[in-house]
Amino acid sequence: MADDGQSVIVQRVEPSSNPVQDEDLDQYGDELAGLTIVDVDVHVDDTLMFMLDYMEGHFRKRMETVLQADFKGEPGNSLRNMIAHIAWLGSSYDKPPRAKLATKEDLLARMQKGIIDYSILFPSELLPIGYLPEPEWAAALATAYNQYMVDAYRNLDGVKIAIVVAPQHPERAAQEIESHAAHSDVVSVCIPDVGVNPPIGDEKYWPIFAAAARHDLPISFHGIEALIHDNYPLRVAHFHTLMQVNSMGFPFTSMLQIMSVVCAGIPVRFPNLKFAILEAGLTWMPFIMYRLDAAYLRYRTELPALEKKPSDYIRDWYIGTHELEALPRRGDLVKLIELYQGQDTTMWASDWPHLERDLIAGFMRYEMEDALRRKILGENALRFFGLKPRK
Amino acid sequence: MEVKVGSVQIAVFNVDGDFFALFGRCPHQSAPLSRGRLQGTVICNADTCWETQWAHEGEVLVCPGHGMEYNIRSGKAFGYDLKLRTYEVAVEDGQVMLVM
Repeated sequence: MADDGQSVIVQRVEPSSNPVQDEDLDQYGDELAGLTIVDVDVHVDDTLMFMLDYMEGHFRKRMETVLQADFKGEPGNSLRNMIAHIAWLGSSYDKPPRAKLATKEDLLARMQKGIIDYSILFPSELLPIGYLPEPEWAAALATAYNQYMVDAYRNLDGVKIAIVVAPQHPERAAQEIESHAAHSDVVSVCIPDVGVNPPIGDEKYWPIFAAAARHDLPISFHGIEALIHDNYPLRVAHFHTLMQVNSMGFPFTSMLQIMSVVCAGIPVRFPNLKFAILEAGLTWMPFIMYRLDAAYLRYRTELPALEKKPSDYIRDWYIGTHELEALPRRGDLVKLIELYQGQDTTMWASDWPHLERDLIAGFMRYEMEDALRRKILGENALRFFGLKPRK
Repeated sequence: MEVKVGSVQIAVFNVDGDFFALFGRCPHQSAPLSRGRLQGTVICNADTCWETQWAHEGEVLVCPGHGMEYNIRSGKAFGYDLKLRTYEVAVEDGQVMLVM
């Protein structure tokens, strides 16, 4: 190659060039003081290397093999990156594909600001677990993740954990719930919903719902970009860019899974079980509620277990605000929430520290009455996760 | 048939000599329920052990507009948190009377 003076030195790009940030909390500290704030979608560094010590037998050997691979220079390697971003590697140019992963110390520093009352920890690394074709491998990863998280993050003020289950192995998933339900820091069962096929209302998954209902643990569906799955709900081949996949993947999956759960009559079979949808935005909620109501007029006899129309069930679902769509006018968020009747179910979520996270300023810019703002910032989440107010 | 009492339309049905009267307009889009047919429907609940069954033959009023179904005795809509007002029917000396 000719030396034309334009060549660059190739070196690893460390994600630490995009550090965890909390300036938005400082900016709004006074305004938020005295309010109950629950951040219902928080992520800490849970890359595979932390799970190694919790793997047994041949799955431990397999994990060792995985950790010896080097994908994208990511510290600790990343199942998520292997699956999620490799198709568009480098497409974001000057931005690293991920923010720095938040360490336990980062999390504690954020909590010590005294603004956020509770952080609910959700998985990052295992969000694509629904894609994995081997039920036993998926279940082993979930077991390792849950034990690691409970060991590493228990007994921390204001820190609560959503355990993860592998839906392709319903019996093991139910066992996970049985194992951790009594722990006071475990407040929800996370089902990563993307790639789950057949859809999550299918009868094969009902042991998961039965176990969660038995222990009064709410179910949280958490999305991820629907990237590699071959047929459900969207194929990567449909899109040329990551932006398109990201925009459609989360809400499409959420709509499909809500529809599947409601139409399967699960809210009738497990009437006390609470559900939430995270990381899918909000604007599609009125669409799926009232679209289903319209179709229900014609097809109700296909769903004879339902005792009321679909929107009457869906309006009981809780929903995290992240990734809040860019509604143009300051009064738009209230209008939207009125449309899906979400005053008592909408919960503020940041997705901290991921790159696409929502600053709290993004929520505070919308006009609403103080009572509604208090509900969304914390009161609704206290009810969903069964938490006591700390202020 | 449909009768009008004041401004209220009421659908009246004669099922083998048993009379039933309900509010005559479907709350969905105001279709006239008196033109609906009577049939059964599919149910699925704890009483059926969550198996689907055909039930209520001849007692399910189907709205001619979009197919919403009502129990002709109770006015309760199948699959909706909704109930039509029902009226007591009396038959005296061959006269059918609504008790308002």
